[in-house]
Amino acid sequence: MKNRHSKRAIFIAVYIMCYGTSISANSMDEYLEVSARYSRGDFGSEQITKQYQLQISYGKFFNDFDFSLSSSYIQLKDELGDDAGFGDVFLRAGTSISNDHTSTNDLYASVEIKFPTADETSGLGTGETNLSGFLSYSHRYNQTSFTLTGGYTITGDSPTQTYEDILIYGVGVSTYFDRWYLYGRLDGQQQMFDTGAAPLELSSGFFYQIKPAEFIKVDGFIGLNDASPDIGFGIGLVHWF
Amino acid sequence: MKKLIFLLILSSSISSPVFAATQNGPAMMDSQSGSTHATQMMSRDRIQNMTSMMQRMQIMTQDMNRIMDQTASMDQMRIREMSQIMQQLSQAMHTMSQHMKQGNMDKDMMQEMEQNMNKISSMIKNMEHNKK
Repeated sequence: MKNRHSKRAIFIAVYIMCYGTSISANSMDEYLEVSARYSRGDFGSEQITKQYQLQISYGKFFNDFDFSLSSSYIQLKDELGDDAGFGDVFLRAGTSISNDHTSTNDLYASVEIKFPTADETSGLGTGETNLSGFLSYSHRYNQTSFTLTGGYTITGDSPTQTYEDILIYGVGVSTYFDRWYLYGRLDGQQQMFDTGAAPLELSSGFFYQIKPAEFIKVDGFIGLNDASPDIGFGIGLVHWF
Repeated sequence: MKKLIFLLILSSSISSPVFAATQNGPAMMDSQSGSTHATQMMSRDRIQNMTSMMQRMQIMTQDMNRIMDQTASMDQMRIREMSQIMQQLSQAMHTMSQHMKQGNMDKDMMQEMEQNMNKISSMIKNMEHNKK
């Protein structure tokens, strides 16, 4: 009897260990996201401009760091005409400095490069490279995370325009339950010129898991002053593999 | 970011479409960057949670191995009792692993498993104490 129970216990343990191994082997660490975005605003002028954007992003996670690459196709519409074309390409890479998945506190550093692939003569970009660095501190309480973010962007100057480098800041909260992941953020940055307000935006969104490896993403933002776009929203699909 | 917004403010008297569009370039770039950032943060949270749960499952599996090493010195009643708890634990871990494969987190199931592990641990401690 004793031997039979022991064998059963060993079987159970082996079974569980096999399950654990299969879960690790199947863990998805890459994703592809396609989203459509819209924003509108006068940006401080007397003219309303609408922006339509089709965005595609790829991301991959390694043990020690992660990166993402994104590009978009943009269409601008205003009272005087339309412009369309490919936007800039963004490469972002980051690593957790604390490097402890079980900790409730996390310090995450990342860098972002904006490659000037957009046509500046059509107004789709500045035509210059930007380099940004970010530092985020997160504190997790149960299934909710609170995040403080600071960053700095070194902006590329065009032949006709010099831009100030920008200090970026933000606070955010995110939580997940069942198939939902919700987040909200308040983001601001320094003004780039001597006059005018510094942009400030409030954004929120959610991810909803529709399949084991697929999420619907919906997000929106409102500009809190004249320097930011009035409003914007987006919807996308994130597929893990 | 949004550098051209201010250029438009400064030069609002100029109203050519190209110039106005150029003003909006940085705002679009912010939107693109921010959207990607949100997905990346969600993904990090998701992977951290999965990793954390996997680590806890691994610890439980190690504990179960340790418990089995003790079976030789247990009496029949304790072995039966332990076997029942192990079965419950196994069932809970199986259910949770199915949930995890679908990308779902099941906090209640994890708590149930930890309670079962605590039961087994206290049983072993009592047994070792009685030996002394």
